[in-house]
Amino acid sequence: MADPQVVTQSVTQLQLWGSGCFGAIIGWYVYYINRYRKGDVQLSDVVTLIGIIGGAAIQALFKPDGALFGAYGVGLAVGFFGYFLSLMFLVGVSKNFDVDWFLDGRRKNVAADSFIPDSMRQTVSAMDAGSERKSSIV
Amino acid sequence: MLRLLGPLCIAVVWGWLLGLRSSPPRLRTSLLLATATVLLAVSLSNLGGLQPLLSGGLRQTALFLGISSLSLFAHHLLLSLLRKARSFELPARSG
Repeated sequence: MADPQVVTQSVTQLQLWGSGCFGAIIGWYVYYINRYRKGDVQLSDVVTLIGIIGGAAIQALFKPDGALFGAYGVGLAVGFFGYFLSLMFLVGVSKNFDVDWFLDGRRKNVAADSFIPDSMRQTVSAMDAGSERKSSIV
Repeated sequence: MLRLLGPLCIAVVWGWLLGLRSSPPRLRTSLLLATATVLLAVSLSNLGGLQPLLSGGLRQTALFLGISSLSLFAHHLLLSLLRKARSFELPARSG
């Protein structure tokens, strides 16, 4: 019969992938939320971020010194920087944007036969929130 | 290896996120984010999140702060390089 101590500490590959993917979704969403935030940084805003990234809920879900927490952390980074890399790729292949979009949100005017729906939300620029006054719909 | 990488990645993401949020630098925002960083570092080190990296709560906290700061500086460095590249390109565009 297996040692209970060993059984409780071992994790399967599926669990590792699961916690990694969970972290990736959280990381992707953190970057997404940051782009669509409104106004300046608030205390409640920062507290929420801490809770999402490494707060008590996450540490209750994954034992902090265990492999699952490690997989969560790696997944978080993959999702977070994956969003950023996706933006870089999309800007790279688009004819309407260039590297300036990352700094101040500038882009070409909408062509005569195109339009942007009014329901589109405003974003802050992808890398430099200081230029959010210039950003518009993406 | 995974246990070591996980907390390290969290510190890197947090530092980059601070970079996104602390631009342009304002005193109130900077203080808020600095306090939040210390809180997160202490929280992770007390609960053992950084255990695989180093032993000792204070050193773990310092390590988290260090890695976050490096990531923050990396973000600002990238921004500076992009601005520099743009300033080189602008005369070329207008000319």
